[in-house]
Amino acid sequence: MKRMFAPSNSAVAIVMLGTLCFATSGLGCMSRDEYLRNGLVASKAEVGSIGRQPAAAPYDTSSPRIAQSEEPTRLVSDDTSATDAPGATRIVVYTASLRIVVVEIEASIKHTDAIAKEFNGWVQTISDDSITIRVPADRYELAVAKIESLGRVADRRLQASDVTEEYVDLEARLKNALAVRERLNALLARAEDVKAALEVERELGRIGEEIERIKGKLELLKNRVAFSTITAQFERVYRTTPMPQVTRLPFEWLNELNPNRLLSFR
Amino acid sequence: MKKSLPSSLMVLALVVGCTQIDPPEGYVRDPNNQTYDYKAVSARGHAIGVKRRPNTDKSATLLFWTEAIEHQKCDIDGYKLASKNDIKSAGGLPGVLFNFEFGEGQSKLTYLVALYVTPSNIITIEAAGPTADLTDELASIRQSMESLR
Repeated sequence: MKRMFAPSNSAVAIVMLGTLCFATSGLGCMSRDEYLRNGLVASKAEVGSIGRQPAAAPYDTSSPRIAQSEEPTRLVSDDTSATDAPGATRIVVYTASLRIVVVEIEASIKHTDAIAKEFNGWVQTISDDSITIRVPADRYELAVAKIESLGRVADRRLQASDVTEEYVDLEARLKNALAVRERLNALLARAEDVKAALEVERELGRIGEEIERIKGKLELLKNRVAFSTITAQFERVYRTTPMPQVTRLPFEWLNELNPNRLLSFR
Repeated sequence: MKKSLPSSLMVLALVVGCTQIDPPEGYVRDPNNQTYDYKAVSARGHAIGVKRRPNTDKSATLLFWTEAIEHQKCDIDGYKLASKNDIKSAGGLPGVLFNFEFGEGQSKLTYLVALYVTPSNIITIEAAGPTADLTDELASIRQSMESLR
């Protein structure tokens, strides 16, 4: 390898650079199995070990929430393709959409805001009759239960989106891009003529952007995994029984007792 | 026997439908009145009106109509009952005088309703005007309402 990149042979270096470029640009086209075969990404077991770090920081974005497929869950997963194998570890994003009938909408929104704060979460969006909060994933079910207790639940949609494949792919692309950057740096250190150095630097710039883009997507995904999203839509309760009404007596003349009528001089 | 005759005649007059009162001082008959059996107005625009209506059910007593009027004006129309007092007509007929108020501040109005009930008739005497103006006339109006014969 060292001989291939002999400083005297810049042409060979450029050919190698082209090969690296091809390898990095084609990452998105490779399947996860191909990555695994090539040893470019962490195995499922390795991903599982990444996810099983809740003890240090249960809702740290660096510790995505992992679900074991053999564990019974009341949540509906929208994708099971990545977790077909028994015992496979899943990385799951939990979301809840609730429609709750309450007496006071404003007070219910304030209560939901307080629930978010109580669970170290925050309010993402708020409107006149709805609120979306983010809570640490390990507090998700508790938060949903507390919000549901504010009124009568008219509709409940709980979703568990399996993002394992997306997560593994991003990790693999990042690992590969970092490896390419390392090799490019080594190549740059050995380049003697300016033309070869410029070519390598241009490619380093491109791979640097790619790395930042992947890191951004990973952080976003980790955040979605670490903090569940709960949206509560509130509706005002309509009384099923009529309000007690003041009964008018069946004596029309009582309505004639009226000072306006008396003070009318037409 | 001679002494009780005038009283008996007055009660009889009420029973058959007379609704005469002595208007409060400073009140004159409203020449355009077609709504009340008798109506008088003051120079400041206050009014007093007498109306007799048939009591369709003999069991509808003064107590019944007292409660009915209070329910109508307070529970339905939203008036405040400032006071409610027993009164007696010139003919000795027992009645009730309601003092209702409504509005706030300068626009606060007083609405007085005197109620008399016989087995065949319900007689109401109403008076109304701005509370600030009417306060000085209250005694005179009450006297007029009790002059029913």
